[in-house]
Amino acid sequence: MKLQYKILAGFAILAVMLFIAGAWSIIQVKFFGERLEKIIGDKYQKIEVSKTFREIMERKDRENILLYMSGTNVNINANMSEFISEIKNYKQKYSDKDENKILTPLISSVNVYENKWKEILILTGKTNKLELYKSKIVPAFNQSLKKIDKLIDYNQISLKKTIVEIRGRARRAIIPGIVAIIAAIVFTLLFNYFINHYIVKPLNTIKTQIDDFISKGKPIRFQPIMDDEIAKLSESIYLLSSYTNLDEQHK
Amino acid sequence: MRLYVIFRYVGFVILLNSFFLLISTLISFFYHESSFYPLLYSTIITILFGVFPIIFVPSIDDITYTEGLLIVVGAWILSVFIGTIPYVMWGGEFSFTNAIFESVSGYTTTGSTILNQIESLPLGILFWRASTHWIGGMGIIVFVLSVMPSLGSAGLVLYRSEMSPTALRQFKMRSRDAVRIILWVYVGLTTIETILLMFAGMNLFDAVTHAFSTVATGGFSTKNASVAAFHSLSIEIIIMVFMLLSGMNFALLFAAVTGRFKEVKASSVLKYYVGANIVVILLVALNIWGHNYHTFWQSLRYSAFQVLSVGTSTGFANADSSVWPPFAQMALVLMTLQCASAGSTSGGIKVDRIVVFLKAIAREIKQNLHPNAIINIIMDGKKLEEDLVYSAILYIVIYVVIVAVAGLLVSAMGVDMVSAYSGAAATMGNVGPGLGFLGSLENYSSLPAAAKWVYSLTMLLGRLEIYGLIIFFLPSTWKRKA
Repeated sequence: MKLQYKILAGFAILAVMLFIAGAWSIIQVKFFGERLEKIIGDKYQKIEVSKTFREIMERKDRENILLYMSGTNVNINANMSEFISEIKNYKQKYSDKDENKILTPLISSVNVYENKWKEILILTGKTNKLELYKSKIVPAFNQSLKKIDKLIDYNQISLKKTIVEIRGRARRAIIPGIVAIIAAIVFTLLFNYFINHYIVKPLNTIKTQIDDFISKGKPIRFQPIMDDEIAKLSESIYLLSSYTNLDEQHK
Repeated sequence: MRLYVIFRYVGFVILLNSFFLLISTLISFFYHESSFYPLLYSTIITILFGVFPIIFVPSIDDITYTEGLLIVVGAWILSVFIGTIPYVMWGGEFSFTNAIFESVSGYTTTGSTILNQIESLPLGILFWRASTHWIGGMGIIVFVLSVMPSLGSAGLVLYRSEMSPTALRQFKMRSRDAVRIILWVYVGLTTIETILLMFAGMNLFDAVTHAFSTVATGGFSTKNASVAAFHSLSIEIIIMVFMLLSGMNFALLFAAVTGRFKEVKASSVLKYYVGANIVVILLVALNIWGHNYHTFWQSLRYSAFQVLSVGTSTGFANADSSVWPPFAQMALVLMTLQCASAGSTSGGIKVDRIVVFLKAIAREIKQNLHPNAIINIIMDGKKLEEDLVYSAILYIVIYVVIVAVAGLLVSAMGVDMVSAYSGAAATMGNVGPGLGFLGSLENYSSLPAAAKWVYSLTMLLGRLEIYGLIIFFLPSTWKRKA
């Protein structure tokens, strides 16, 4: 192969390596950014929604107890069905397999809370309202709150896990760059060695031999390593030196 | 030293690696896995590195023995680094140290892993792990010579540099024929085992990767619980048979296949190898019978698998041998030190050297009884040269010293003595599982990072039969003129 093509191949390989590393980093950073936005967005939204569940639950309970104590008719079905359908919407929209294990019991405990209200509403007038509320509603209410807290905890832990995962993804985006840098350095050293061995060294040898020929009249003997431009150059110099020797002899 | 010669031939090795990386990439692409880009990138890098020295350096036939040795050791070390790239790029449990350990363990066919969750790895990475076993099992250079027979007289030097003198003694034919035989036996065993494992119920991917591991006497599995995960007696029997065959000298296997049974029958090494395995299997089975298992057959099943796995330096597991009685554990440690025959894919001291060692002891006893007698060591009807006997004994001594030093170093890092020393013996012998928390169903993940580096070194020392690696790092080797 011609020297020109070998050098070209060296630079081409170096360029390909750097191109791949660059392209890879761009792809990874772009992908990483998109994923980060989506994952953080989703997780954050979930934490916010699960926190509002707690507020809604407390508000609904306050409304119910106020209406109940004041003797006003409590429409528990209408009051709670909206909340339950919100939890169901959340379950449909965001939840995964593990989260379902929290959401299903949460819906059940809210249903239990609703049913307890229905039970004490029938008993109105027969017993102390506050005692009924304490014995029947409060435990069901606390159970529901516990389940909501569990959901909040789950989402917070999930966010932390996502951050760890993102850190891993960031590492993945960095590693190709590091590998490319190391590969490029090693390749440069290798390329430099070959250039030195196959180009610089033979050229220096030719120069030394020409100097020796001019100053000391030593004959040029050059053994080319490869069949390339330097071999042709050395062959021409050898021929030139032979003709010069012949001329000297003729004189 | 002509560095460019070394670069050229190491280039071929890099290209061989890139071929298997390419297959792993295609698997990842087919299954839309997260490992696709890391594998693709690794493939491109290795192709570029492999091709460049080949196009720059012209073909050279007259390579010296030292150059050959440096090419062989250089090829192993470089392959280890190439093997690390996809792991590091993929991430997960692979830190740099873990990736190096896994790669060394793969190429040296040790089969020790740092992974806790093997089953969560993408198929492309799993295939690459198994491929490193398959490439390393045959011997990286022998593999290159087998797929590139046109390397001329350089091939002979490389072949002699890769094969140990003990193994070379077994291959009495021309190097080209020996390489051809090794290739045929290797590919043949792998193909037959793959087919049989599929018949026994494994899917194609598991069958291929387990066949790669068995024939290379490696031990990487696609399951966390190794072969025990399949709960299949037929799979265990197939793997046992192929572990035993892969631990035999390939020249003898080829002789058996081509009907030259006389050669097989005459081999004292083979007799010792099979005999020692049978005796140890029975002793261990009797020891664990009633202690760990209720029936003798059950004990025999687990004993046979574990003893053959360790005795051939494979390292698969179908039971947790770390809960076996002390005698059974000690028997496994002795098999870990000994391993199988030279000229096979196995590691360890090797049966051949043990036979020479035992014969040398017998001679020494006879010599004491008859001080004036000239007693030669005869093996398979031929007199053994004294330098071969000397080098075999010296090798065993150095081997044991390295195991002791490595064990000492690792125990100094806070690892308990049983785990540290059994780990040193298991990695030096390229076996895989040790005892304690490095038991057959455990892994090396909990070791300190420095201990992983020590074991990576012992794995390489064991695979390159000690001297090669030492010579490689001697500055005088590199100053020597070609």
